Formats: sequence, structure tokens, C-alpha cells
Amino acid sequence: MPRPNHHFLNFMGKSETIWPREFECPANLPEELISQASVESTQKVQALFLAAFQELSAKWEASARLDALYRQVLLLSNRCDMLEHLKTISVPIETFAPEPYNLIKPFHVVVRFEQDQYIASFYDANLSDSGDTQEEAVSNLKDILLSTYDILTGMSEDELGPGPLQQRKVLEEFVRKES
Amino acid sequence: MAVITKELALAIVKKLKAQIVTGRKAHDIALVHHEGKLIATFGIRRGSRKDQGHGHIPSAIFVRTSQAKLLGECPMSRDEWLQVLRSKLKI
Repeated sequence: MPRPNHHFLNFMGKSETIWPREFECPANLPEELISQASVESTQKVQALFLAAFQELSAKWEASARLDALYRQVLLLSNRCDMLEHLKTISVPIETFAPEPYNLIKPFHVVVRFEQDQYIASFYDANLSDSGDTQEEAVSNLKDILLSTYDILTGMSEDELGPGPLQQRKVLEEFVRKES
Repeated sequence: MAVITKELALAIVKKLKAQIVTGRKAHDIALVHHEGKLIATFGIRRGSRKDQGHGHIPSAIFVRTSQAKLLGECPMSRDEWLQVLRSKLKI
């Protein structure tokens, strides 16, 4: 009966024999080598191998599970950071101190994160400003709000288009310059 | 990086032929006039960084961020911008 041809293709694509042809298959070992003692040893080795394999498998599974959990935690952490940035907050404006302006009534500005910067907006007056932090954006908005108030109140109504005119009306409801 | 940078903001100022006045602390103010009337204002943050974010400008000039970018980068002209404002009854 022809023996199976054990060979493999090496990296060059050339067929090579794995082991010497006379020991090509364990089933072809001479009978005298297979004694009772060697069978027992083989069984012990098999049992040990099986135990070691099972232990390694369990460890590998635990490691894979931990790895998957680590990835999920990392993903959630990143999403939390992103949501933290995207969160829109409402900030009450209650004073313009130390600037010489009175706040007639408090109002809220909305701060949102957009394209690597914070944008603070007072929508009623269509005024917004940006900053690298939420505090800077709000501070910049207060600054632009007072500058815009000064400019618009220094002009007559005839000189203002619909947008700035509306802005002035809104600002005059909230801001008054100290006399 | 911010879409509307200081560099782009200054290009928009030029495109809209805005007049720059000195603001209070952190800004200069750009004033855009049309037919003798002030039609839009926006702040230009002081500072040397060219990539400084100016994401507040689109809403101040009544356009979307993409349109503000077109204004700064050239494809949209001042007249086309005025047309947008006309459609929104801002002039």
C-alpha cells in the first residue's frame, strides 16, 4: 500500500519532505518500539498535555475577555469625552462688573462645542463669540456684547439695517451704561 | 482645526469690505455697511494665532458655516452674500 506523501510547500513554492521517509507516519513505527510502558508514558504525556492545553485555553479565553472589556471601556471613555465636549450648557449672565455697565435683567447664554472651539451665543441679540475654553467664550461674548452695544447705541436708527436694529432693541432691554 | 480661522475671518472682512473699529478688550469689530446702513457686525479676536477659531462669524453674518467658508476662500462674492441677506430679509 503506498504511503501518503508527507510534504509541504516551502516559501519558495518548492515541495519539501517534513521528516525522514522512514518515520513518515507514526503508524509506521516498528512494532517492537510500542511497548506497554511506552503506551502508559504516552497516555500520561497526553493527559498532561491535555491538562496544560485546557489550562492555557482557559487563560487565553480569560485574557481575550479582558482584552474585549478593555476595548469596550476605552470606547466608552472616548464617547464620554466626546459627549462632554458636545454638551451644550446654559450660563447665566448676572453682571458685567468691573465694566461700567448695568445689567437691567439677567439672561442666559448658550455655550456649545463646535469644531475644536467653544461658541457662546446670546441668540436673542444674534451675538456669538468663540474661545478655547467655555470661560473664554463667555468672557469674549460679554466683551463683544458691550462693544456692539456701544457701537449700535452710538448710531441713529436710520443708519441701522434690520439685523443691527433688532440687536440694539434687544441689548437695550438688558444693558444700560452707567452714567 | 476650526473651519473658520482668524485668517479666514480676515479674508471675509476684506471680501465684505467691512470697516474695522477697535473694540474694548479682546476684539476688533468688523462693521459691514450696505447702501449707507449697517447690516452686520462681528468680532475679530485679537491674538497672533492664524488658526484661532472664529466659529461665531457665520451666524453674525446670517449664513451657514459652509457659506462663510466660501466667502473667505473666494467662490462667493459680496453680491452673492447680499443676495442671501435679501432672501432672509436682512437688508
